[in-house]
Amino acid sequence: MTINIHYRGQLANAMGVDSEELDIVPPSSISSILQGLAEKGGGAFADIALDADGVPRRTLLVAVDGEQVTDFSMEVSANVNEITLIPPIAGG
Amino acid sequence: MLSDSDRATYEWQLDVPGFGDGGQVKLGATTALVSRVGGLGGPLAMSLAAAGVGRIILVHGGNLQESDLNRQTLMSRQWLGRPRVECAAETIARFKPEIEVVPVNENFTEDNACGLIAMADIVFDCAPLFEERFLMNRECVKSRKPMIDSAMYSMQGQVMAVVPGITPCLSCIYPEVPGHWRRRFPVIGAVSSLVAQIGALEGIKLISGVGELSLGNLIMVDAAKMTFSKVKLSPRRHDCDVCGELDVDV
Repeated sequence: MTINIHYRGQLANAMGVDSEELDIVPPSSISSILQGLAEKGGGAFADIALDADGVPRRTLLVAVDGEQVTDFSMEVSANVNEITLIPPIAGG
Repeated sequence: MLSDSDRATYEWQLDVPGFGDGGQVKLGATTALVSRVGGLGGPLAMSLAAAGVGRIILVHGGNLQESDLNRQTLMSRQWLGRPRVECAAETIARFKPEIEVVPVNENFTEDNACGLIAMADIVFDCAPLFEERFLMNRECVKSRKPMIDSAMYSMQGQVMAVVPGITPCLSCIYPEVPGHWRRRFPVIGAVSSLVAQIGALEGIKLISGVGELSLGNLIMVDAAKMTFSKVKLSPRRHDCDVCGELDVDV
C-alpha cells in the first residue's frame, strides 16, 4: 500500500523533500517505517528520529491522518492516507 | 469600563462579533509575559500591545546583533549593541504609550522563573532553547497559568496552547530536551512574524473569549506552500513529570 509521508522542519532538510509517497508492506509499525526511512535518509534523519539503539525518539511527534500517535508499535492500517513527522522546533 | 479614548482606539475591533466591550476590558486587565522578544516574541508583543493588553512583561537577555535584523522587527540598526529588551520596550511604548511595558534584561532561569511567572496572567513562549521553554512550561503548570507556545523553522511554524490540567503540556509532547536542536537555525523573517501573529491571536482568543480555541491541537503553517493545518494531540500524559498529577482534565 502507498502512504504519503510529510516531513516537517529539519527532517525535510534531511530527506531533501518535504513529502513523498512511500510503499509499505503490511503489517508495518510506525517504528519499522521510521527505521526504513532512516536507512534511506541516512544519519541526519536518524539522528533526529531514532536513538542510538534505533528506537524512535520520544521527542518526535508523529501524526497519522492528522492525529498524534504515541504508540510507535502501532501497525498502520490499510486505510491510512498520510503520516506527518514533526521534530521539535523552537523560537528565536 | 471603556473610556472614550479606548473606544476611539479600538473601535475597529470592538465591532468584531464575539469580542466587543467585554473582550476589550478583559485584554486591558491582563498582564502578558513574552519570552523572548526576537523574531517571534517581538511582533507578537507588538500585536498584544496594539490589541490593548494592559501590561506586557518582556523577558530577554542580551544585546542586539546585526544578524537579528532579518526578523526582529521591533529593533533598529542604530540600536546595535543595545539590550534588545530595552529596544523592544521603547518601540512598543512609542507606538502605544498607555500600555505598561516592563522590560526584563534576563532570560528565564531557575532563579527567576517562579517570580516572573507570578507576575503574569498568561505567558507567550517564544524562546529558542528548550531548557527555557521547559522551565516556563513547568512554572506555568505549577501556577495553573496558560502558555502559548510558538516555534518556527525555515519556512514553517507551529503554535500550541497549554492550559494546565486541560491540554497536554509541552513536556507531554516532548518528554526530554531534543539533543539535535541548535540555537542557530534557518528562518525567513516574515515567517517568524507570521507565526507570531498566530500565537498572538491564540492568546487574544484565550483572554477575550472571541473565536474558537484550538485547545489540544498543534497549529502548523507551511509558508513555502502557504498551507495551514492542525494535528490533534493525544490527551495529557498521566505519567508526565510536569502535569501528570494535576487533577483537572477534560
